[in-house]
Formats: sequence, C-alpha cells, structure tokens
Amino acid sequence: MAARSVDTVSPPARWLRRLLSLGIATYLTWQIVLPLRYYLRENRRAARFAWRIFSALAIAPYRCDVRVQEFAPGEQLGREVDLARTLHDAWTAALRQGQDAVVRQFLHTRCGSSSLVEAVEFSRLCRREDRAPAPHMRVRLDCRSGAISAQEEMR
Amino acid sequence: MTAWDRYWFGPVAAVRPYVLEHVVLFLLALDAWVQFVPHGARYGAGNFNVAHFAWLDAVQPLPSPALHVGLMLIVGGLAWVIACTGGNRGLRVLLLVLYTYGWAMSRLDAYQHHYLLSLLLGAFVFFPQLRATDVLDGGAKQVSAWAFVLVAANVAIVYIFAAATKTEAGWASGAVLRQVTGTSQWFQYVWHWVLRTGLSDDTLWELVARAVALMQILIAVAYVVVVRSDASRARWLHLLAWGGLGAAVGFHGSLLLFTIEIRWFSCYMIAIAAAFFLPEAVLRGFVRLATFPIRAVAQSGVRWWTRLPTGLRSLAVVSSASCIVALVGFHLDLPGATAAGLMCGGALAVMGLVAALGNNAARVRHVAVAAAAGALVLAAAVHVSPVRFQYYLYLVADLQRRGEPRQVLAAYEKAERYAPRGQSRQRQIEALRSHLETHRDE
Repeated sequence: MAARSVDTVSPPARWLRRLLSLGIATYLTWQIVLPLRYYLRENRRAARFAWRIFSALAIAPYRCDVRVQEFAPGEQLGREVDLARTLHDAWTAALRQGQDAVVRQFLHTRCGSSSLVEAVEFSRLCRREDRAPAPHMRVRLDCRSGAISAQEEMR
Repeated sequence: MTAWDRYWFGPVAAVRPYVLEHVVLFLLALDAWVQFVPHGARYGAGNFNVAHFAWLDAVQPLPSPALHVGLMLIVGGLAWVIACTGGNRGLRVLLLVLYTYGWAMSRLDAYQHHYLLSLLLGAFVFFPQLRATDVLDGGAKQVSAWAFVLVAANVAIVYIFAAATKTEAGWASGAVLRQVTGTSQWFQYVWHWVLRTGLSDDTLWELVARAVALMQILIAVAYVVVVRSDASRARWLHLLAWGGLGAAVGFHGSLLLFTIEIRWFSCYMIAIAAAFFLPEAVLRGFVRLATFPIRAVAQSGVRWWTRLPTGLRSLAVVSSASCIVALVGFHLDLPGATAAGLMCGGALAVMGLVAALGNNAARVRHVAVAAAAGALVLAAAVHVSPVRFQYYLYLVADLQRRGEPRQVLAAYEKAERYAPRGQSRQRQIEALRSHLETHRDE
C-alpha cells in the first residue's frame, strides 16, 4: 500500500470548498433551528434534540401519577388499566413525563386491544412538595372516530 | 482564501482528528457492549414500542431483545475494527446507520448524547483517513479537516443551548442542583465548609447555578475559537484552550461524582475536550504510548509467518478470526449474540474470499486480526463487568410485574450463573422454587 503523505496542508479545490461551505452552512442552520423549534413551542416535554442537558426539565421538581381508563359504549365509569402488568416500567416512566408520542401510541394500542373499548383516557397529575402549581394533563382518544382531545393546566 | 475558507479548511494538527476519532470509537465499542446490552431486555416488552421517528414505527418490526442486543454487539465490533484499522468510508457509514438505528428504534433510549454520538459518527465519515505513522513520523503534520472543525462548532452549539436552559428559574435558583447533590455526603461536607465563609445558603446555590452556565459558555467559546489555534502562535489562544479544558473536565468530571443516570456522557465529553484543547505534543505522546505495542509487533515481524504465501496467510488469518468471532457470539449467552457472531464471522469469511480474489489481502488480514481481538476483548469485558448479570436481573424485575413465576425463575437462574461475588440471588431462587412447588397444581 502506498504511504499517504499528510505533511502538507492541502485544502480542497475552490469549487469543492464552495460546495462544502454550502453543506456546512445548511448543517449548522439545521443544528440551530432544530433545538430552537423546541424552545419556541409551548409544550416543552419532548426535549430529545434540544440539548436540555442536566436541566430543570430533566430533573423535575415534582412527582407525577398517571392512570389510564378504558370506557365501554354507554358507560360513564371507566375500567382502570393495570399499567404495571401491561407496560414495561420504562414506558410508565415516559407516561409520567407526559411524553405526547408515547401517550398517543399507548391510547391507540388500548383502543386496538378490544372491540368493546369505545374510548381511552389518560390522566397525569403532578404534585410538588412545596404545594406550588404543578402540571395536570388529560388526554382522551375516541376509538371510533380517532379524535383526540387534550386538556392541560397548572394546578 | 477568504476568512470563512481559512476557518473551515485551514490547517489543524493531524493528531487531533486522529485522537478524537479513535478515542470516541474505542469508548463507543465498550459503551455498546457494557452499557447498552444490559438494558436490551426491555425492548418489545408488552408488545409496545414508540420509535423516535413516526416513519420508523411504520417500517420497522417490533424491536426485540435479540434485535437490540445483537445490533449493539455488532455496533461495538464495528467501532472497534474501525478504531484499530482506520476502516474506510463504507464501514463508517455502516457504523453510523447501525448505531443511529440502535437508539432511534425506540424512545426507551432517550439519552441526548446518543444523538450527539450519531452526529460525531456522521462527521467521522468525512474525517481525513490517518494512521498512527502519519501522525507520529516527521513532517508538518497538519491537515485540512473541515469535518473536525464542524464537530467543534456542533459541540459549541450543544453547550450554548445547555447554557441557555440554565437561565430558567428552576435552574437559576439552584433547585435542580440541590436535588442532584442532595444524596452526596462528600458534597454536603464541602458545602457546609464553604457556608462558614458567611455566605447564605440560597446565595451560594444561585452562585453555583450561574457559574455552571458560565462554564458552559466558556467551553462553547473555546471550541469555536481554539479549533484554529494550531495555525496561530497567539498565547491567549493557548490560555483559552487550557481554560476550556479545565472547565470541561471540571463540569463533566464533577457529574461523575453524583448519582445521575447519564451513563458515559461525561467520559465522551472529556475525551472530546482533550482532543481539541490539549497541546499537540501531549496528544502525540499519547498516540505514541497507546500504539507502541502494535507498532512493535508490526516492526518485529515473525519470519516464518512472512515466508508463507500471501494467500495461505490470508486464509489462515481470516478463517481463524471468523471462527473466534462466531464462537464468542455463541459463548456470550445473550439473546441475539449467536446471530451477531455468525453474521460478523460470515462477513469476515466473505471479505477473506473477496480479498483472495483481489489484491487487498494485507488490509483484510488487518481487519480480521482486529475483529478477532475485538471479539476477545468483548468476551473479557463481559466476564469482568456484570453485563449478563444485569441483563437477566433487569429481565427479572420486568417479569416480576408482568410475567409468570416460572419465567421469573428461569431469568433468575440465568442471572445467578453470572452473579458477581456477594450478589448471589440463590435465596430468592430457593424461595421461588419452593413457592412454585407448593402451588404446582394451581
């Protein structure tokens, strides 16, 4: 194999530099815009690509309880889904964080689990030790129409 | 050249991209084997999954422990082989795709630094392909490496956003820091010692919280500016490099002392900082030391071996390496490991066959030796660290809630085979066996 020489600095040819510069500028714009989109959003729970490293969201100052209920046609009272027996603990933790994609996917999965289920409702209630307002969230999926209604507030 | 061109395409010390790529790849290999694999049992549990991208959910099968563990074993092996041999662009692209799929297949993996590593692996595809001798032997040893400069800019963006989030009230008040450090006894001791200076507790927390944000801004500035320091003799640039290194090691090193579940994030960030901020001479000394055994073996050359015909040598090396890789996969006793071993061993055998027909025999021999060495390191790593014990214990934890007692017992018995000293689960196994005996007819 021929020895490669790296002794001399050899920048790419001018046309290639222009092409690469365009690629670099596009890439950097993407790297800035992607996290910015997250910060400009109201819902800031899905922080996957936002570089919220070691921050107040990752280490939340409150604890949340979640429950999922299934409703049969004509019934006002729902049947509670046993999350511990249904989901891996890691997914329950994602539900506690209120991750939208996980919540919606789980509601759809429950709708598909039985033809007797007309609607599925997810609720997340968070509490702070100092009793300051904490997030409360309720998401309901109508299995027939596929319509989702969501309510979020600080309580 | 314009200022823009000089920034991206001007010279950097060749040793920097070399060290960055090699250290990150070696870390990634061990990370994949020792950190990813134990968590593989949760993939597909309860027949539920959400991928990081909706389109991926539409095209992929439900992830399984075998898929995730097998993939991570292959990712580690590929990273190891590229680190040892330099690989080629094709292998680097393959590593990027497989690794990215490894975390993107499920939101169970929510570590942001796994996404950062994908960006790094993407940059490595465009890194100058250097060997240790290129870096160590005479000459100017500077190269144009725009992808290396891009990594600096990318890491700076990470730190800037990380610092920006620390302006929020939850962080600025010190509440998050209180929570993180609350269980650390040594920190409490130091904290109370500092409080004797007369500062109030709240003021000190606010000061520390703001200091962390400032450190992150300093690191970001250092990355953007110092990346050009090899082309400059300005003393302030070198001082900034030391400042950036101190801040990065201080910040990420201190995180290692607290019980925060961030896996090897700190190790990667310290390694990246070292590649960018350490003086060139120190990095070259590190490369000289790390590659000494390999260079010594290569230079000595075993005579009888070199007298053998090239084809015979290639056949012997590649077939032996294929067998070692496949056998290690079989020996690991983890879901997906046998398939991963057979696939990698098979791929090596095919490479050997192609090399025998072509003129790339020496290169393929190097890859085969590296793959066999990697497989042996994997076997050693799995023996030394409790990878299998953790894997089966995590499985037990999940099955205890969702599975049948017999499945729990089977997973416990697997874990017991690999229990480190003092962590035997024999008592739980006996209790479970006795419970199953008593309730046999139910």
